[in-house]
Amino acid sequence: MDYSEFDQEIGIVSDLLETQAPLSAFEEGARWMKQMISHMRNLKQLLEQTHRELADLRLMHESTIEHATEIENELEHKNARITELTYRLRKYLPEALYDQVMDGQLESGGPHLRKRLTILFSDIVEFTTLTDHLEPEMLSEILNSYFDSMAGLVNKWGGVIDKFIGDAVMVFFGDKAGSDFKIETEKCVLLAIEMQQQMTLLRQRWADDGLLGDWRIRIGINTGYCTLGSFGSEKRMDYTIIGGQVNAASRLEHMAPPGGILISGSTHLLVADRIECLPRGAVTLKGIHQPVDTFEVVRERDSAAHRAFLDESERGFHLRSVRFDHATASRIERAELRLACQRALQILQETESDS
Amino acid sequence: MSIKGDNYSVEFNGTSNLIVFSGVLRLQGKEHYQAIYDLLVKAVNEVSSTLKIDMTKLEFLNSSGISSLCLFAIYLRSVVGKRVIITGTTTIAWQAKSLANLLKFTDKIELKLI
Repeated sequence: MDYSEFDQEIGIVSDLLETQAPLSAFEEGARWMKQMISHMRNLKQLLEQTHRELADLRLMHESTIEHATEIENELEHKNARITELTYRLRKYLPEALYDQVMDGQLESGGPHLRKRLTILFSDIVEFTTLTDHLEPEMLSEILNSYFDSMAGLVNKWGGVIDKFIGDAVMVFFGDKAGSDFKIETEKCVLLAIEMQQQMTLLRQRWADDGLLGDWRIRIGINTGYCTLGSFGSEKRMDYTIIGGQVNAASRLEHMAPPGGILISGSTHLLVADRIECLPRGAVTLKGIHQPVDTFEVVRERDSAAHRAFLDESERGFHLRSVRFDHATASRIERAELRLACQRALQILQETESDS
Repeated sequence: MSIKGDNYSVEFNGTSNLIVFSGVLRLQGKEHYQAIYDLLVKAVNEVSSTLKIDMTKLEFLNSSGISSLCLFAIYLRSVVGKRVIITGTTTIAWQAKSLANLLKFTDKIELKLI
């Protein structure tokens, strides 16, 4: 605000009052006028100060608003980053585990549940012997492609990868709230069958790349009550399962034939109508009081098991090359190969009769 | 001389004429920032000519905090013969803009962004 004109007028009146000899009638009025001028000068100073303070307040307000905007932008940026990270986390974790992490249910030292689960162990037969002569780079490539394939299958079937132990994989099913336990167990065994099929393809691919050796996995599956929860220290927790039934699954895996799947009687009870198995007798397992019935998985009943070796299309079929070895071929492989050959013959016969 | 909270600290070293802000400052309201404001005022009166303020470790400052810094900038106008050098960082997004705004209050503040 410009006070110069106002100031000038006050000055003129003041000078007049100072220099002119006032008539007695004006003396009182002149004194009053001087007081007024003094008040007005004080008021003017006060007004100027208020304007300065107002300008500072405006500046403070603008600075605070701009600061708040910067913080909001940063918050939005960080939110976007969190969304991106949680999206990545979703890809790495099974759905059930992801939901529990996001809902804050996986508190460290939180409650541990007793739950009926189906546990799968698998490892590569004679891994140490097979890898003894391999360069570390080659070994790393093989292990990564093996774990990538297996982890992809576990996620596909909805299992929880508990851990990788060297060349072994530990997986469990049944921790999802409200899931049908029979179906979860079937999924576990179907996963095992697909893991064996995948291993056949990997072995073929590795052989084509010049990697010799009889690369096979064996799988053990057991069903029973386990303790489920987060175990470990404050800094490093594992969402895992412990208990005698877990150890039993691991021991079944060691007893399984190369390329085969050995399941316990408790698992067999739940899958027998869908999975064809051969009884392998009762065994005594450390930590389990009663002998455990064992069964070797042959194939999924009424499945398109031949697809492991045969790809069909409208134009015909593609029969994959097979290196068959009487000594090492597993029951699953034999069953799948037999079905693939039968199906190929059937297609050829149908083609003959059509023409 | 220092003020410490759960996840922040404001420390004044009289020998090096330096105040270091660090952590996350999210005190509620101007009155909670009074102690920090008082420390700034005391520090600028103690130094012989230049007070240095290091903000590079201050990850977050809420609106009440920036208001208190503005008030300190206004206070500086009345302090004779002193200047303040604030060091901020471009890696913390809010600092470039908000610390630069302090220069609008007084020419006794110099800002260095690293």
